[in-house]
Amino acid sequence: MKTSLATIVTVVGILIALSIIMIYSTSGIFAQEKFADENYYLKKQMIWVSVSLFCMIVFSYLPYRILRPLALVGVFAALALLVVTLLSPLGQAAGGASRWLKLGPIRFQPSEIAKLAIIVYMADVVARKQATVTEFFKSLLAPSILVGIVLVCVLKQPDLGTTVLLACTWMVIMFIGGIRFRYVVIFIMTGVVNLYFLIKLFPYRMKRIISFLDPFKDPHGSGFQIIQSFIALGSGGLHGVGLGQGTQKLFYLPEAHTDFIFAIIGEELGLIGTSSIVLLFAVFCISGMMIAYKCTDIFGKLLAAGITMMITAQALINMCVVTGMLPTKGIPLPFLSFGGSNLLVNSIAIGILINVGVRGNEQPENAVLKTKRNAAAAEYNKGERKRLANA
Amino acid sequence: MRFRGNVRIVILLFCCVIVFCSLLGRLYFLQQYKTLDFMQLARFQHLSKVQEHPHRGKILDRNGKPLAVNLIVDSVFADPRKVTDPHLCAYHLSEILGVDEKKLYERLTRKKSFVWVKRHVLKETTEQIAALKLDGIFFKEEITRYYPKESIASHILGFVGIDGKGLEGIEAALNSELQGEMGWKIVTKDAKRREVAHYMPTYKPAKNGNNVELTIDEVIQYIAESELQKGFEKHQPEWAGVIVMRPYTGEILAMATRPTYNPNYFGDNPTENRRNRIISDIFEPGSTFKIISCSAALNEGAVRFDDVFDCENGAFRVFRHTLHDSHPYGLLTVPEIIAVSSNIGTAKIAMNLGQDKLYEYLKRYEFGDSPDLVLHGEEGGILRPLKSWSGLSIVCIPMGQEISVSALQMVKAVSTIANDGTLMKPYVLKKITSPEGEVLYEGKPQAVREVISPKTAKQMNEALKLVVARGTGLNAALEEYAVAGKTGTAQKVVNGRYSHSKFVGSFIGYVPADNPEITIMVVLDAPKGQYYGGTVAAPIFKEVARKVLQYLEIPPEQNNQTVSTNQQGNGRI
Repeated sequence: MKTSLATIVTVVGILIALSIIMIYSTSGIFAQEKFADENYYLKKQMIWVSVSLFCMIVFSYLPYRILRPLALVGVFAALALLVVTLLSPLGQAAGGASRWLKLGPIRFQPSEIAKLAIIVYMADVVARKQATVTEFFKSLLAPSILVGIVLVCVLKQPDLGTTVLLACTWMVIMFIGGIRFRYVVIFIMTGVVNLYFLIKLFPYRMKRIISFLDPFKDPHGSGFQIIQSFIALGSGGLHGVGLGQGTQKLFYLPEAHTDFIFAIIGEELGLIGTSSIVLLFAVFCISGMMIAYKCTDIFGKLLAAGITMMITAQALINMCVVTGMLPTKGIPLPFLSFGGSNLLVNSIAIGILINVGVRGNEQPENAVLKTKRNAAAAEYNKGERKRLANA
Repeated sequence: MRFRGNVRIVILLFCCVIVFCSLLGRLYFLQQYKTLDFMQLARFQHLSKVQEHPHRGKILDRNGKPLAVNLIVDSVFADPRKVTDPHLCAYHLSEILGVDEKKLYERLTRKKSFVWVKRHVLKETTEQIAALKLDGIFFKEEITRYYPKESIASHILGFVGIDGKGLEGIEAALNSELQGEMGWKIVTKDAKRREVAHYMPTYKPAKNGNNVELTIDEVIQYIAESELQKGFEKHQPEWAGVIVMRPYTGEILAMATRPTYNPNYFGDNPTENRRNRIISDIFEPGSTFKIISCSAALNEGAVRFDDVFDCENGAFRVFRHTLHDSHPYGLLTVPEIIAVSSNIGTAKIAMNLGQDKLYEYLKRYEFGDSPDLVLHGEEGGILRPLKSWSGLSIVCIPMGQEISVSALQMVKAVSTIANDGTLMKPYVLKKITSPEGEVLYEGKPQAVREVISPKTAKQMNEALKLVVARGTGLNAALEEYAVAGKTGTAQKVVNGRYSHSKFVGSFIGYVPADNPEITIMVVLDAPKGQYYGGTVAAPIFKEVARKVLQYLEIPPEQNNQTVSTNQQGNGRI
């Protein structure tokens, strides 16, 4: 348990440190052009990193069990924010999608909050309904419908990538929580069918799929981004061209400091850099799952697994997109990509994960009490039975 | 019920590990296996080679006055997609640039991002356009060759084609010196095709062309051109030329040809106007050639200066032909034969010399050989080898028939006499200097050989002075300087026969006769009306000589050549 915790803290620390260097390297020229200040993104990210680290520490000390009563509130809050984003003028459109909510100087993505809310909510529900978890329709249908509404809101933005990610998280928690295998298969199949129609009905998604299958068919149009990503990765070779020496960030990869930062890492630090990052995430995944494995509290177990899988899935999806193994999705690379709300939510999640690691093996106070009470009751019953027998 | 969550965690973890491993495999594929392909793609899109054009070297006259320079001009182009009001644009631009409005409108409405409006426009004009602030109209600085003296010396200078390559004259002959070396730099460009300053470019600067200084004197050239122009207009020959050479160095001071052209607009003229006929057109020289044959005979001692020949009263039967003089003469001394240009006298002198010796002297004067200036298109003339001479050749060649020469060759030969018998190699290239001022080449006077002895040269000088004083060259006489020269009137060969209506009138001579500064030859090919060299060419010679000597500040001398000159000369003193 101790090792897993230390590993997670180390991995996250390395990733955040690297992100500051790489965001400076990738965004400098872009920021110079856009804001006449090459440190624009760096400064912003530094502020977010400080806030995020602070929140991570706070949540790592906050007993995770206090989240349980807040679970339902969290989901409704996330839902409300999503609806506001979609419907009110506070929602900010960027690149044809209204994913941002602006409150004063802070701009954030409600879908990020939804990620955490769904994990906490599902973990709570599944933990509470352990007895009847095998009967999906009896126990988990109503909560799943609530999650479904959240998913629809995110899909409406439109943000298919995050929707798929949220659906996966929901599935993972139910899967680990003990849902029957046949339901897993049914859900995955329904998901695939839904995906098929969601892609088929929207031509721009179809285009992405086509450009994913054969990017060189339209190298200056839909295939441009992924080809530029290949060029970045490929020209890096083993050692990379050197930190700050990459040329793909010169507007060849648009906004390289966000979703495609992994490609620039590949260009500047080479295969050594990229494989190190893949391994760091793998180590994170294993450590997170170890925490879940060893946690004796079911809520803690589901929470840890959900958080680990959410972050790992984001990382894998992002890296697969960058390497051309998945069609382009708007999913950032956790801890490395520029982006405030994503970093903040992921950091809070890590804080919770740490707390689960620290406190997951403690017997919950009420549980201990219950046991004592049961023991006392048994004692009493025993004595009663004796008395009855004697009588 | 036993909680099965932990088994499922392991299953999930296993799935994740599989994805992680395939990701590593994919990265290896992209970054190791395919790396060279992508590196090439990256180079292809990031790096671009930008050429840097050198400045072409200047061409200067002997005093450093510019004859050919570079002019930085603007070219006007448009981006039709950015032109908001093509009608208004076309109207304004056609007003200022003089381009057809309709054509311009058509160009401005094309679906392109780049069209030329007009190339090579002066700065003042583009400033006018810039002041209008028209949308989508831009300027590009370009360098163009400019000849500030326009048609002056155009045949020597030549011109430069659109691609910046010299096409004729010095521009062509010394193109490799003038053009310099193209530079390049490999720059990193961003996706918007802009150069990125931050990345160090690989750089090879352009090397500007070397400057070329000619032996041509701008003022003398101007004098020659303007006097020739007058004669050209008056006599309307097919072509005319003047060449001025410094006899004791071989420097060509001026070389003018008519018809002419303006190298700034070389395309507007027919090709034949651009030919430097002084060096590339050959003709039968006629009587001027008698100087050559007589000097040979005198130098060999075949005749003596005061030998008397019977000029047969104008008709002399030789080799079944009858040779005529323009006027019948009786007994004449050698200088008198030259002075009156007697064909019969010359033939007799040459026959005394013999054809072997004559041929030897013609070779020593370098007839038949290209003079080898640096210019392109030089002709060496036609001197048939001795074995194909006919019996009549010994009569014809001394009087300038059966032989073809260029004006440059004649000037070179006569300069030999002016230079006490030593043949100087003519040259037009004074100096080549690098842009930094380092002298790379310097043209120096080059004595080729002593063709005739100084004594013979002196005798020939006396004879040539007599031509101007009392012979056929009266029209070339100057008031303040003694002139030595010879007229020439050659029948042109038309369809293989000597024409009786087309002549080449010429005059060749040098001044001041006893201390020669310049040798001048004037040629008029097929002038209309009068055609005698003494009538058409000698006056041009006289004017050029007078003005050039004045320009060169040669002190006037006591001149006994003409009575009138004498009186004026005395009055001055």
